Amino acid sequence: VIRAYVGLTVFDILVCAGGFLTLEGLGLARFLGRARSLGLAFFSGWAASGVVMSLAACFGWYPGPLGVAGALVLTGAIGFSLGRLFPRSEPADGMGTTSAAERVLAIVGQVLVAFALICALATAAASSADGNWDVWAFWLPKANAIYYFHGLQTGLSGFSTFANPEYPPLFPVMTAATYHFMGGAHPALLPLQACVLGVSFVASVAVVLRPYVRAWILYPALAMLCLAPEFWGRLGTVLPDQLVGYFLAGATLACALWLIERRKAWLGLATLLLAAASLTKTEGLMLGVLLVVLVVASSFVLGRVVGLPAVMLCLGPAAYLPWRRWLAAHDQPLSTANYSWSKLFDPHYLDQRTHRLSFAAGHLSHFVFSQSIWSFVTPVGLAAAVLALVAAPEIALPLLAWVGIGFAGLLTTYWIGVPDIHWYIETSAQRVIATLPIVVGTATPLLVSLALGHVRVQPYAARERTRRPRLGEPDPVG
Amino acid sequence: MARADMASAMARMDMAWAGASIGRVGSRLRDVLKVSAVAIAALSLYAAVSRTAAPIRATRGALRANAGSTPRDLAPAARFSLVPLIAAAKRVIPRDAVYTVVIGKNPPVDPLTAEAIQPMLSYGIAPRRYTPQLADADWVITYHQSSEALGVKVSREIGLDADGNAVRVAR
Repeated sequence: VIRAYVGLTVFDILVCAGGFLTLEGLGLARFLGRARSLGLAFFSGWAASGVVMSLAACFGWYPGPLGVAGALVLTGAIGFSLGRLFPRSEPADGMGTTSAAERVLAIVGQVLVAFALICALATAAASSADGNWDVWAFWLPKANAIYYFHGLQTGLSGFSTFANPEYPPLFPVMTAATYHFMGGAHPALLPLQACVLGVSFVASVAVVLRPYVRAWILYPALAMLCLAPEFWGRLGTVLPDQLVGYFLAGATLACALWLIERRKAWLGLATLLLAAASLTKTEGLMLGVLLVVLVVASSFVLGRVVGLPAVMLCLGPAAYLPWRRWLAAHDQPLSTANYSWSKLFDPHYLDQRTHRLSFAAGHLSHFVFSQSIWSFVTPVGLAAAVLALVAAPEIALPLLAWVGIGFAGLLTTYWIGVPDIHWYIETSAQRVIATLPIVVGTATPLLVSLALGHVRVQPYAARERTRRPRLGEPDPVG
Repeated sequence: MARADMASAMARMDMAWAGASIGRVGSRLRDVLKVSAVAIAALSLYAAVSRTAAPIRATRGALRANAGSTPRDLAPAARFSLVPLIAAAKRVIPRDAVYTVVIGKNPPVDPLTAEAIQPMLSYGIAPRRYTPQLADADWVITYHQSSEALGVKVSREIGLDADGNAVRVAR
């Protein structure tokens, strides 16, 4: 067991190094501060390693333990090389606090965030293997199949023989990679790994928003998110649903920062996280495509020269294509059997299912807005978006549209779905819809900062004429 | 000329009034936004503080629960009382074997457990490979099922736990 813990630690250090190289290449390590970027390095390194190894697996290559180490180093090298294509950035300053009351709000928020994360880590370290049905019924057996049979195989007990063979492979691929370092399949350690990933996500949000959001806004909002029952309860869960929420929330922040200040490195980070979301779960692909469409449209509204680089975001969801090619090449179903989008054009079918729509709408709304599930995360986030509508419609409108359309999209899957609606809702809805509150909760501090004018979206033409202000300085433009 | 000057002055006064009005509205909006932001921060802190008891309880519970005797990797199987079966199957069936599972009705098995047995074995005894075809299996894991009724030649039968056996198929 000690060997497994040591192996997991070595794996995480390598992932972190890969992520750090990627951030260094993008110029974000220097911009955000190298020491502070540790959490973001692990988070982005995990995403990058997952994307690289999933794509490699889709093309029939799966490495052994040394190969996994090599792939992690390769990930860093690729990230560093690609990142060099982006312009350099000067280090950013954090936004200071001005009054004693603000300082108190910030400190209490920080203490609560630390408390939530330490409790989650302690719980995950002490817990046994995750008992959620989907975890042991197909997610971990798929990881076992990759680990023991060296990649995506279709033979007996191969990857495709378990439930939902069409689900993308990133999560099982990364789990199998950790097994190589642990020296065997040790599912009892995976809740701790999931929690470390969750902690790295929270640390990433804090470091990314530090130059744009004052601490008295940032940390209370993060504390509310971290201590929301659903978020905290799932920090140590091995199901990849919360992971999709992390990736999409990170991508949403990066896209928003791109729209605000047009630093291309944010597009690089967003593309990476969108690719990871698309290769983790089908919902990640669907909500990721929606995000790309809205951000590209919003970028073009700001100006053609702003819009064109944003098209690069399409590469994120496009990472799903090799997986689709693998499914087709191995005679596997390309989409889930639970629902078919073509049914949306069958009025008779829809008419027979109105009861499902109302039932699902009630439950999904409850799962998103209930205080006992997500605390005040969703209403506060939506209120912040409404406040930001005046100062930053380019950010607030796409975000509100993303939440609304995303909700409608997920609702539709339950409406047109084949399984019994009670069972379908009971077994999946609460964790699938969780992505929306995670994204909203993560964006809340930035939206408040935009509403207050602490940070402003720079109009394209004005930006060309004037010196860009240092972050935290009052913006002379607009 | 005087009339033109007066009109110009009045226009300037109108613009000044409008500017002041916009300024007042802007300043009022800023006040509203600032108050809203403080309210959001305060509400967020209240929401966070009101949820601190659950993590403490959960952490304490996890630390206590871990003192049990069930192997941590097999903990999910405890819910279906399958831990002894899986642990014994790992010892008895060779790692490169192909196995199948037959669930009988003597006595009847709880439907949820019946549904869980095969995926739980896939989770617990990999890299042994599962086949749904009895004819292709080297080993059969029987659960509430007598080996005589399997319809295959049996070379060896080993008890795994009170509910199940591992049957080696003769070739």
